Amino acid sequence: MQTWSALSGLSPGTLRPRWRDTDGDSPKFEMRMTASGPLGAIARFLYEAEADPLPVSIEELGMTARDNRGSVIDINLRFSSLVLKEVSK
Amino acid sequence: MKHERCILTMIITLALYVSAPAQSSQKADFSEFSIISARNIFNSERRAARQHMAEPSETPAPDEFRLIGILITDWSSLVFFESNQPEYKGLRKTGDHIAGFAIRSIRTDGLTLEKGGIRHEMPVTAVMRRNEAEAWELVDSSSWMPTTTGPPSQEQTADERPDSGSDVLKKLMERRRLEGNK
Repeated sequence: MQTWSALSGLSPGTLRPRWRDTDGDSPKFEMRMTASGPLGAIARFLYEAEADPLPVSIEELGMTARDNRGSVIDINLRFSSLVLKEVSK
Repeated sequence: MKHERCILTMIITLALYVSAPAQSSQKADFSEFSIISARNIFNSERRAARQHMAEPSETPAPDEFRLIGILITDWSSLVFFESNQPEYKGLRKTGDHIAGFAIRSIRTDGLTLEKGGIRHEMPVTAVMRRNEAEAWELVDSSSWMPTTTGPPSQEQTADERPDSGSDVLKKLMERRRLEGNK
């Protein structure tokens, strides 16, 4: 995620990581994140997340413009990644 | 030897297997998504993308002039022209020229133009228009839309309407006064 931030220039405001479905064979690592920035930086961040070799799934994305020109946009992002149990142990 | 060949085959197969998913999941270039930031959907002031369509070529309006009024006094006879060309606009008197025509006579109902020995009777409100063959012709004045006077308002009385004779005279007098002040 640091790579995505570095490449896009979008700095996360808050990060809330947590484990989900830990009882199953494939627990999920979930991350909730808020950030603010220009649309270009947000697009680049999402692009880097999508193009990353890690199996990342964006599950929720909320975008709110701060002004009429959309120069700064707040995002509320939730994404998860599958983790093999052998690795998580 | 057979064992070495088997290992070599396995290595080649493994190399093909590794390279195959890399080709299938080829990373799309981020520049393909540049439209996202270029046309910010959150920007309420954004404009539609310019259409690269061939614009229809505008044909220029034909040259024309219209006889809008005549003022005959004891000491002079004047005619007033309106036109889409500045050089044809304004005041003329007997003997003056407009668009190559000489003004031979001025009457209360119109004037006589002459060019190349040919005379043309031009009544008030008539329009002379240059056609595609560059020749001037008298056209129906009803299709001509004046640019200087608007439609009469509802509050105007019949005498104040632009088409009434007294109004035309008033305007001519006013225009003459303005011309004299210049």
